[in-house]
Amino acid sequence: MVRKLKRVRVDEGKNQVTVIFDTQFYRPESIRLSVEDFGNCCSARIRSRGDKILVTLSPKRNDIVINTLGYEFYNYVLGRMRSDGSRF
Amino acid sequence: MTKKSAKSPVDNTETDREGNYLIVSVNPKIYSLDIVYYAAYVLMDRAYITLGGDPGKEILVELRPQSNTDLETLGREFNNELLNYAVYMKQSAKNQRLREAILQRVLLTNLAPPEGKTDGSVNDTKGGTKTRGKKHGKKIKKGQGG
Repeated sequence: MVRKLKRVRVDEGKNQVTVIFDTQFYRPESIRLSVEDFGNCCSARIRSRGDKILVTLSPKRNDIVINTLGYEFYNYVLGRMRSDGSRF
Repeated sequence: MTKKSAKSPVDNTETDREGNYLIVSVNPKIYSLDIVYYAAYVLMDRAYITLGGDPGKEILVELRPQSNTDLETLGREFNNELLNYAVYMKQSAKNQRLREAILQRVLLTNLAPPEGKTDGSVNDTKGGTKTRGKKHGKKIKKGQGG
């Protein structure tokens, strides 16, 4: 069976997606700033659980695809980390 | 159990065609986390990338293509980018001393005094003074002052 990281959980009923970040790989400050950047299109809630940060995003517009929103956010955080010069 | 994946010919990847994603396993002793980040950044425009695993033992990179990219091709490209940046970083480390030496040389050269302002006169043991090199385009003979 193929492993799966299970980092993005979509709840279509509530129209929200929960994205889980491992702080061993993702910088908390970059996550926080990315949430701010997404403020125009999504409302967000951030929680931490041990070395994980959970971000729940709820789109504010109907044209946002909930199934890809979490992955788009993941890529955004990765790009943000690069531009912040935090790791690479 | 539904068979979702095929074992990829590339040994460090697992492909789930039904879920349309693949997992690349990276040994951090071979490719550091920085190299993984660089490789991920290159593919960001074509795939959704998620990092996980254990940075000390096994880094897992989940790749989900954004368009109709073949999963195996994506995995191979990611491996290529890992190698690409590993070589780049190794070369960069090798060249670092050379770069520093060149920079030092350049900076020291800039600090050298302008021409004509140094006094090149030396005392001649025979009594006269001798000026090194040419003065006003003429060679100075022994015994002539400068």
